[in-house]
Amino acid sequence: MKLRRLAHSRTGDKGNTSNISLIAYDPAHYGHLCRHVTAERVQAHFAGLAHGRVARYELPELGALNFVLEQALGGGVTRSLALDAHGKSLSSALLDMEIEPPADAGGGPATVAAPENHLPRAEDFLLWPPSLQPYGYRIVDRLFSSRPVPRSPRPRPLRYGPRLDVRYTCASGTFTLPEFMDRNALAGLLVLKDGRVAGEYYGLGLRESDRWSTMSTVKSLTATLVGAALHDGAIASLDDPVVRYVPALAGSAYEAVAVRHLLTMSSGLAWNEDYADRHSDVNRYSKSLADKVPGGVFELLRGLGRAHAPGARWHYNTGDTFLLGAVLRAAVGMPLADYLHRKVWAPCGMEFDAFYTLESDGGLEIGGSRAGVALRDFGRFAAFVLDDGVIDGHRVLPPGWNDAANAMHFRFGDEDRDAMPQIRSGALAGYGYSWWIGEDGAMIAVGFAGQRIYINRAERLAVVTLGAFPQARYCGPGDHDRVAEVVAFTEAVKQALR
Amino acid sequence: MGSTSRQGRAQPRVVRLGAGAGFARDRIDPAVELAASGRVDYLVFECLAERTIALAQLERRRDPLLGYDPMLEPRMRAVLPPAAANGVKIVTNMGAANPAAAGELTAAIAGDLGLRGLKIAVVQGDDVLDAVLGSDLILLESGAHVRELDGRIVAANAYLGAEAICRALAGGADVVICGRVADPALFLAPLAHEFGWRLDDWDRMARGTLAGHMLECAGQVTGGYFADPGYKDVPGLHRLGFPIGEVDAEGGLVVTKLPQSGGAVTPATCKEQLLYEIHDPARYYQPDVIADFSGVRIAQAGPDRVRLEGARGAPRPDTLKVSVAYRDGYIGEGQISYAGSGSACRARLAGDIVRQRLARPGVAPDEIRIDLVGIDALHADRLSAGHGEPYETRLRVAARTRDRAHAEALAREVESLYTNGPAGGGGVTLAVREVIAVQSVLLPRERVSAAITRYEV
Repeated sequence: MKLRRLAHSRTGDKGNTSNISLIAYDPAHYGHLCRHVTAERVQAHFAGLAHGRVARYELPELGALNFVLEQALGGGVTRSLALDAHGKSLSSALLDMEIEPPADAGGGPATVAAPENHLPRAEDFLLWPPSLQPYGYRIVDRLFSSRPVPRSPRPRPLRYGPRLDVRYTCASGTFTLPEFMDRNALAGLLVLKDGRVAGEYYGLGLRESDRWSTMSTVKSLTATLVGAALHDGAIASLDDPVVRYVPALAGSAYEAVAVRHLLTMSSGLAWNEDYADRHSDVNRYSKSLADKVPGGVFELLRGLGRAHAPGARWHYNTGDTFLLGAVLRAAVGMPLADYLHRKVWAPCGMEFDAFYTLESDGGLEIGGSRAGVALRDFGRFAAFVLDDGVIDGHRVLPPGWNDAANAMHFRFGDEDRDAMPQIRSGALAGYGYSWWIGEDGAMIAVGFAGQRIYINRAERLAVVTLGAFPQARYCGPGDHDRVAEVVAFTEAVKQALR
Repeated sequence: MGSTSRQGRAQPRVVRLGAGAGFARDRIDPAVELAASGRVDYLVFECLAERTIALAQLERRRDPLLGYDPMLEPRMRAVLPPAAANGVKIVTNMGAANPAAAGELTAAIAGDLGLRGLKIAVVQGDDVLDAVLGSDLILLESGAHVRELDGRIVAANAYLGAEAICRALAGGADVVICGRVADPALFLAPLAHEFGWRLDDWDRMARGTLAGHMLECAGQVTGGYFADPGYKDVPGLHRLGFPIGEVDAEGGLVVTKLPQSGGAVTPATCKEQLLYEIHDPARYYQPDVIADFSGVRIAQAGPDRVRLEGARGAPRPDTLKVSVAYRDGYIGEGQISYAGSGSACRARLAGDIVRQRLARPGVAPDEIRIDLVGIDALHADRLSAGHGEPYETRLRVAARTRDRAHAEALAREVESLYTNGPAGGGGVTLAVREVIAVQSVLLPRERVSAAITRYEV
């Protein structure tokens, strides 16, 4: 919760020093403030703004704390170039700090202190009814811990081409583009052809600056960073054992697994990815993330058994991509969010901050699920892949990386199609480096509830769809197959733009 | 007004101090309201921020008859008649760099208003420029010698305590006009005078200082600078009243306001003000005492009435703090707005252009800052991240330079964005000002002596 719910504040200035008071509305919360709003935490909150020591003074009689921040005012009110040279507005910045909610302070029923913004329950993220999906998918960073991937200092405007005009035919009939949006609960649609936007649509109240949940499409993004790390030499070889980078998993079934296996979902570990089953591995993983348990996912991964030899079989496993993120983090020596900014977000001219969600407060990025990206920046990422990972003549990915990522490392059989119905509906033929390979040879990032980045390098075409597909239990009899309809739409777009 | 003097009267049970201003350009109406109410014995105007006196000093050099608070005349014209009618005494630091001129002007205004017999006292002695120039005093902030500011110092003023004001009041003054005095001392002095407190009664000095600290920012304790809709609501903020401090002979304080005025006095407004501009609450350094506010208790004592008690005092420091003001280059600033989609991109591009155009030898500023107002101007990139892009963006470029010409060059580069920058820029504003920086030194108190000059209308 925001500190603002528990306390109020005023800032004063003397020279280059700022004092920020923090006064509990309810004196019963004073102890909670003392425990959680430490001088260190305030210093971290103002990192980059306040450059000196932070002292904290306690005033139990007032139920208040007083923070004194040295070198906080750009040289002092007389010399500072800041718009707010006194730093008067720092109090509001402090109140924006996120803090653990207090266990009820006790002493009778709580009174209403302020209006409260109700958010959907985070741990039910994959189980929400259709009414919660469009709202919840826009505010993922408020439900989970996250780390920003700052936008580019030099955003690159997209180039716009002729407007796409398309009708498509699927099992239910023939439809127009607006019908496509509504029939499939789409929040975003972006079509890029030959480097130009052929269509950019926002639905369900999505705004251009909103960061919609990537779901598992971020797996393909994280996998792309493995390419960058190889190019940098931070990862020596895809055949390196995973435990070389993440010793915490030594002694577990991951001992024999190489980076390449994580990249291709072939670790061979036993893992249940059933989103509808509350007790499946993927939902235990989600619960650990919702509870922000530090090291909780590693603990879960250490407990997994082995089903197949590494590299022998493809088996979709979100835990594998989490681990791939941890390998990258260790290899490049910086948070994944920073690496993504440096390698892709800054040079590609991304217009909006994105974010990775985190395993726990301040913890590891989750490489395999529910990051947040704005629609146009999804498009810029697709353009980056279509340009073979070269930006303004500067190569970010190794030569041939996309050919390898786009190659069919595993071809699906009937067993796979029966186990994952979306393989058949989605016209997916196999799996590359954390990209699905379409029957038409396209590389496709696919995520829960209709997230999809379709990239067809031969056609110089990308189609990004952001969806809020209702989950099976909320679909009536005769409801149509939305995954198949997106494929039909994509096929029609491909034909129309040739 | 002289006829209503309290001299020789028995000790009153409670002295009522009204705050008439919290800064130089504060609103005047609430002060008039207090003076006319008959609910205050003193009206105190605190109008002198850290740097204001240096600017006033520059003004005085240009014109020896100026250098006092520019709002002195309108304020005195509005307040003196009701104050005289109700026997309200006035204490203020509106003398700034020229208390004598302020005293003469006030006497002239009083004569003009027909306030016969009004006694005005002027406190001087805070100007210690001669004692500081060429001394080997050490600047507290930078650790350098004062000598290193050779030729650039424009003012040095010591923070005087309550003693001289007490003497002025004992002499029967109705209006006391000072230059630099510690803000709380403006309030402490009438209390010490009325109750006959000894100036080494440290606990009472601390309690009087607490009263002064609570009142010195005027509206900031009655609900000003407080409202946050939905979290902290304040009724009638547009007709915010200024505070009254009711102080008893022991130094017990009740903060309140006029019932018909807007605003609110609650424990929460008082807590915010108590910690305002305080560092270590157990050691609040003042010329009259080292006050300890760490054990202060605050309780509601009625509607818009809050009681504060528990301040304690330790002996005053042997030195007085002196603000040393000096010329420190120039700041140039320019702003321009962009609208609609891509406004932030165009504003960023405009900022880059100005930065590159200024990167020439000889023109390059000492420090440059580029803000996008509405996006990251207040707290930079990290805290501002992820809040989306607004419909309009205002670019602000500010730079510190050695001389005025370079600051003006920066302003011109921003203005030139009209025809030499990105599309659709509008609403340019420019400003160039000299930087008068302030640092502090500590001066042994025996080297400062205050003198009083009296005028009678």
